[in-house]
Amino acid sequence: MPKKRLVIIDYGVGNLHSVSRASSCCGVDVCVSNDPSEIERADFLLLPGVGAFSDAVESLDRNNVINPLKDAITNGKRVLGICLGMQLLFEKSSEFGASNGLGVLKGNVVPIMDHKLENEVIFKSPNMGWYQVHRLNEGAGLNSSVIDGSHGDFFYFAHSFVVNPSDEQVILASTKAGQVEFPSVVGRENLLGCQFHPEKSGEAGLSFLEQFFAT
Amino acid sequence: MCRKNFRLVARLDVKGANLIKGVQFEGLRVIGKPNDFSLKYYEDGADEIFFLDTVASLYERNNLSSIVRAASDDLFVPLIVGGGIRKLDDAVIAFDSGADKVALNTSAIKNPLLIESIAKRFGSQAVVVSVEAKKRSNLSEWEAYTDCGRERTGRDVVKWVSQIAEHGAGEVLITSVDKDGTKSGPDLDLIDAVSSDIKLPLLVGGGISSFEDVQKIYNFGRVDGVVIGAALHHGIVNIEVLRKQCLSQGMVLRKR
Repeated sequence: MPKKRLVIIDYGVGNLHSVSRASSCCGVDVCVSNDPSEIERADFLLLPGVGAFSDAVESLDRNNVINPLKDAITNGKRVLGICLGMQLLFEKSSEFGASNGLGVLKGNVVPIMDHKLENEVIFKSPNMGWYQVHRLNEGAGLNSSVIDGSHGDFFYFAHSFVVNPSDEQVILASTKAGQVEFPSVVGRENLLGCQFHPEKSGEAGLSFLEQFFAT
Repeated sequence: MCRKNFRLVARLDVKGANLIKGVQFEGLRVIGKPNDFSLKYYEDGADEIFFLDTVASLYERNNLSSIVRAASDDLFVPLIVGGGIRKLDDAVIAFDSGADKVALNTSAIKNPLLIESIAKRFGSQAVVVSVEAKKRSNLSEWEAYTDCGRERTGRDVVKWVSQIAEHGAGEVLITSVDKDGTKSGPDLDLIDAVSSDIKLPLLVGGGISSFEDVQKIYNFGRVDGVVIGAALHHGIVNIEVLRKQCLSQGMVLRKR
């Protein structure tokens, strides 16, 4: 059986080596590209996790990737957004002034310290470290096996912003770091997003990716 | 108190193609191949791995890149790379070879704008400011050193650490020069002094060589992780065993 094809979208910033390598280890063919025809014929698309929101949006715009991406998503292409990539699926981010994301999921991206703070004297930002992911919603179809598999596992987080979805059903899992709880996995139909870096989360991360590529 | 998870970080000092270790950054001995040791630490469950280029000359740069590239092929945990990162392009090269974070020491003190420029492009979580601290004799003060404990800066460590957050770094890493490589326990006064007010994630190292050392540091409540080098390379501490000991004593860490 031929290998499935993953296209990793390139915002021109940071280390794509690890996520490419982790994905290859899961048995998919990996291509880093912004070419619309590559995007269209891919089995999976991945929005990687490094860089700043506004720079990534600018880069997507400059490379004319926004419309091909939105079309692919509307047509049911299986998409994974990691960290920044997950945040890009939403409507707006306040990082470095307001910037518009792809808007395929409703809601905003906000600083983690604004998210939910109860009696915590100092919450250190960025949130760096290994935290547990707790399943909240089943997630329909494609995403339910991925979320079942990762419930209770520890993953690596490194972020200063979190997503604030308008529809709570989209939150498949949450994570608590100190006293702050935030969405760690979101998903709807063909879309899946994770705030952590599966390519940096050891065995648990590789397992998460394997489950994604199996759907 | 609901605290954040504590991390166990392995540090590998690299010179050319070799893993080396000195005492107080002097008397460097070759221990073996960096990638063999980093693989072991990954398998034992290190939360992150820190490669420090102790020579950081232009010639040696290629060796570190290939070591990091090989590590990022097989080790799916965050890699921190430090040593000789003097300009944005050096950071770009480090990220391209597989680094997730760059650690700046000398250049952070001499040129704090570099911290901001790397953070702006790659995110603050990608920039660690590394501080080497040596105790001033007869005082409860520490002076910041650079170039792996070779050069004095005259700067007060506690004061410098309090300024780092404004420059956009995501994390601070403090190493005790006096304790480094000695395996004789950490400088607890130093850790107490820098951690009490710090708003950024803080990793500490230098001399850590037992579970008791780690527990004392954890109990300060404001430190986010420990960086261990010599004790690991000499087999005195095993990360997997250490993690189990920490968890059994109720410390909050990743469970594998």
